[in-house]
Amino acid sequence: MAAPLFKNAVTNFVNDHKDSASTEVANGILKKEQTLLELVESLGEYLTSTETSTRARATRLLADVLSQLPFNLLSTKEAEVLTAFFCEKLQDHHSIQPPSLKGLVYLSNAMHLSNGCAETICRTIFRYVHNQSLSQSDRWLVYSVISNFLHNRLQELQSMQGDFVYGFIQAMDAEKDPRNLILAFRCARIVAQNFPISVFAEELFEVTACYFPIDFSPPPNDPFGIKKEDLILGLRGCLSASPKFAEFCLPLLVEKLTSDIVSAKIDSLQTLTACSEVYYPDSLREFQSTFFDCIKKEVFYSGDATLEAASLDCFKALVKALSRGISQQGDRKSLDDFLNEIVNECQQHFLKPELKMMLLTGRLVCAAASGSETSCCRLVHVCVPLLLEQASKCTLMGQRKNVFEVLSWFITVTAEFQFGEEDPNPLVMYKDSFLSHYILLLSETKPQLQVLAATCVRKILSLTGILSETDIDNIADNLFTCVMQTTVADVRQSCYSALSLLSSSSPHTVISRVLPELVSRLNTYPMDADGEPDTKILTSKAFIRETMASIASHPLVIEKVSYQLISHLQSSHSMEKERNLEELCHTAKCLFQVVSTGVSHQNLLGFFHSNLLPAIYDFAISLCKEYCPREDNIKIEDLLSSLACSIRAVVMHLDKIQLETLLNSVVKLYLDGSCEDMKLKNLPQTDKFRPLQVEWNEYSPMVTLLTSVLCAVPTHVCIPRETEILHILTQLIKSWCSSRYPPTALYKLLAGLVNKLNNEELLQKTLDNLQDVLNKDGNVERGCLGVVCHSWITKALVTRGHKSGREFTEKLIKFLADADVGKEASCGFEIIVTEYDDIMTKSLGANVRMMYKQRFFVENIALLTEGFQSSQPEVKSNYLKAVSHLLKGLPVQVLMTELPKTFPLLVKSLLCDDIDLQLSTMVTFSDLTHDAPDLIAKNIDSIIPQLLKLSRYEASMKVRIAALKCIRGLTVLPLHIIVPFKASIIRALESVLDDKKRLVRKEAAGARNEWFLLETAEK
Amino acid sequence: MSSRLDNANPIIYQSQEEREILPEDEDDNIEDKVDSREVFDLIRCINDPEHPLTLEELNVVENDRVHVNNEENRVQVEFTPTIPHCSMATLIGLSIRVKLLRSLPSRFKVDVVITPGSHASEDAVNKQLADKERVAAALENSHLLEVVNQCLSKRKNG
Repeated sequence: MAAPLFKNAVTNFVNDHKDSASTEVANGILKKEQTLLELVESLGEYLTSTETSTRARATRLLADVLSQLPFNLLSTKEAEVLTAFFCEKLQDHHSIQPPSLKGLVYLSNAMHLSNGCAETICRTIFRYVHNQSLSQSDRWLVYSVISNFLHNRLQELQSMQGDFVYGFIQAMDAEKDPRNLILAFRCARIVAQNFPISVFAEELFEVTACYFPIDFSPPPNDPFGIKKEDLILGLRGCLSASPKFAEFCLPLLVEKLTSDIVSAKIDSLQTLTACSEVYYPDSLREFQSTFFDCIKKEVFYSGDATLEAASLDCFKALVKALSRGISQQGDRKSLDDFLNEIVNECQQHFLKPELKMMLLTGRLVCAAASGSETSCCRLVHVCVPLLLEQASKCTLMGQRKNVFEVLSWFITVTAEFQFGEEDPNPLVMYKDSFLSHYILLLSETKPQLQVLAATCVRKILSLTGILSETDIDNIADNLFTCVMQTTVADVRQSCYSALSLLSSSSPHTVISRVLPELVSRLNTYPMDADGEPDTKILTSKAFIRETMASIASHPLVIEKVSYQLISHLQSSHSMEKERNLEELCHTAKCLFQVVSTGVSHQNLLGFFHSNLLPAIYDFAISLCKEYCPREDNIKIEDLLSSLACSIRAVVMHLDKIQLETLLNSVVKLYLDGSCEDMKLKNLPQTDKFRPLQVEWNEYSPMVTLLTSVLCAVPTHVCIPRETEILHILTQLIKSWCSSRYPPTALYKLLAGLVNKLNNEELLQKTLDNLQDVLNKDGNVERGCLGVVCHSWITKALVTRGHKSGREFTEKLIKFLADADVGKEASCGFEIIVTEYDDIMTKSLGANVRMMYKQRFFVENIALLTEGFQSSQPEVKSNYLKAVSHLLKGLPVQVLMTELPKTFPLLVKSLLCDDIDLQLSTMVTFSDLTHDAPDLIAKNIDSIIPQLLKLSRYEASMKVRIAALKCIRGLTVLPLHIIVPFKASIIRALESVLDDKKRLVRKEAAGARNEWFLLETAEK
Repeated sequence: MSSRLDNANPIIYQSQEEREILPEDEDDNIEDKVDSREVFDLIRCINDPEHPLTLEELNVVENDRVHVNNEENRVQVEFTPTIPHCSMATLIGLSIRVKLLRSLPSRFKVDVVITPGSHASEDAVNKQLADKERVAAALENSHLLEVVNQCLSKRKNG
């Protein structure tokens, strides 16, 4: 029935050279309209034709059809027949070999291939195919057959033993195409690992090693996707495949290690690293001194960081391999000799710690020590006493620093091994000496040494089983003393880090020794003669707070510390009024730091919920009562927001039940002025506590502490009496807008709620109310503050991607044209794209639309550009500012399509006489120079004159510096773009070198030098 | 290359901290005079031609050996080769000179000399460095200019 069609296709393919006919046939077979057998039958006459080309076409058709069939289609019998057929065809005319190979590639993947076929195929290929005379793609077929069999039928091939190895070596000999080499290297590795190669070890090695070291640069555009690295790794896999290669490979590596080409050296070192893992230790022995010499030379003299790193890795691997010799072959001598050699070489350098070799030697020895436990112990016992002796002898700062630096590396190395009871960490013997040195160093006057000491102490603390309880007490005391005495930030930071570790491993030491000291110091207020707090004392208070935060790393300590901090707040606020507020604010921030570490400990949340939060509210109430904050009391506002941070951190981690009780209490407190659950001591009697009252009162600032709860609960938890709250807040805007004090806290709370509101009806009603309040008839009813509030609500809507966002945004853009409120409106854009910690973040469970900032930019840039062009000159800068805010922090990739249109605006912003705008535009330019160099390059003619002009901008040094930074940044652009400007820029910058400000001169000199170096930097 | 090093294992000195920025440095209305530290900051990060170290780390240049008179527009820099026979002395001097030529306002007259008594052919080197025409001629030589520029570029590693 379908046979004639089939016949047709065959004729088409063979006689008319229509390659697509094979697909037709393959489809027929897949649909079971014909069988493979029928195909072979119909090919019969062609396959036996006397014309070579006809036979070739027919073979090719069969191979092409097969390659489109699934691998499980052939039965065992069919596969056998086809195997015999293709093998026979290999012996036919050479032009028939390629299609036959293609057929064999299919068979090498076929699932039902009977035993013996693989062997037959390989033998036939090895015998009749002269690989070297085939084209690249046909050689690839040969490697594919071999590679497939090595993966599928390894056992069968293994039975061929030496025959296979020999055949493979002959086939791969003189291969030169990187595409084939990748495959051939993979095969060679499998062969070396799975066949008896003894007789052929040298040949198999040579056939791969002749490519070492690989030098290959892919053709332009990289059409094959092969990288030099792929070839290097492939070849490395071969060389390190078998220990039998050692005797040939090691001399080769020695030779290449002494070459002058850096990449060859690195390759050799890395290959040696790989080989040492496989080669037998005794084969390395003969070469160990030579390798040591080479590695030593690279580390000591090369000055090349990559080369040094590769050398050190290799050194470590060698030591590791030699150490393996002890367990595998009972050969202790190789390692001993090697270590002796190292020690002999290195000792002398340790005796002169001020010289360059000191640190390099340290790195070398530590690399060797990290090779194995044995080498670690041995080298520690030789070098550490020597170094400790130097530590006591040396007096110069540079010497001591180097000595302690190297000692600290030894600590790091010992930490890499698991030492047990029986063979303890070798440093135990020197522990006392270490500690006495470090404790001495901590009381040094040189900060660098103190930092080093604290870092080392931290490292020792992290080692297990070294320190006794007394040691830890001693360390804790000394770290504490150091922190209290130094004013250098780096020193304190490293001490904090050590204390933090100490606290998490020995909390009781910290609680009994450090914490009481801290608390007593925090709560005393020594005065100087005038009754003014001494500035020194104020700084030391800051250090005490920092220390308290740093030791809060263990739950036990965290609970104690946060309790102490809140008690401190409660007890001290009434003592000294105004100037004390700043101090309290710092303490509140410290509390936040402690709490945010604490919330990750589940078992602390109960304490925070039922003790800490009420205490914070109680403190805030008494604070407001005490100070009766005026409307412009920024300090109170700061203090309250610091407290709010702690509340927020806790709320984010509470479970649903805890949250609901908290919400009920807080809402009741704010709306009704009473709360039984929280047991607030300071709450005023009946009806006095009214933070949300229309008239501003002393408790109004406490809105901030409502925000921290309401805006941090996840959306699935209902806020009780939400409608009522929204109504009250909207009313407050009306009355508070007219006050002098900008109630940002109120706007934030409202915006945060609008962002999370699930009830669409309620949302719409709230928005309508807000519109009413804010801008009747499109006019700005409430002046500048109204615009600020409008911006916040717009942010809430835009962030969640609500449809009303459009309307609000358009209104905000209209405000830009207004001479009175335009400036506020432009700041509104900053509000919209800035991320705030306290509301509308993902972690606070807010509705945040994916990439809302990018969308906002793309949706509005056209309107803004249009507005800029059509607006009056005096308000034009508002548009530029708005655009500049939008650009901040946006990933450049997103902007690429919009930027060409925006670019003219940016250039105009440079001309605008507004320092902030100019500065932020230049920051944008700097970013673009790196992220979108093409764009800058295209517009470089218009930018350079502007920047040069700004580099002499009289009014502000900041502008001059920013301009110079931009000019310097331009040097990363492609040479052909910037070279034409080189001479003029160098000339123009000469006068800036004599700027009256030193910081400007520094930038100018930097930029000018960079331009001088243009062509050099390129190399 | 190791065999060609004049001094393979030199003493390494501690670098100075970055200059502290004072409030008056950021005040637009105050004029800052060029002082010795400013000039020292320009030359301390020049690379040594042989070692991956800066001139400061090798103590070839020191703050105390930089003298600046802002009013009289004079700058004098003394540099100390690590060993008396250092063959790189002229190249180091040239690098310092070129760096200052590029970085200081043209009103300054700059002298770059070897610290007295620290080098075998002190006079010859000083004479070469003081000769404006020779310096200009040296910079016309593109190979030499390349070597000098290498000393003045930022190191990529370390």
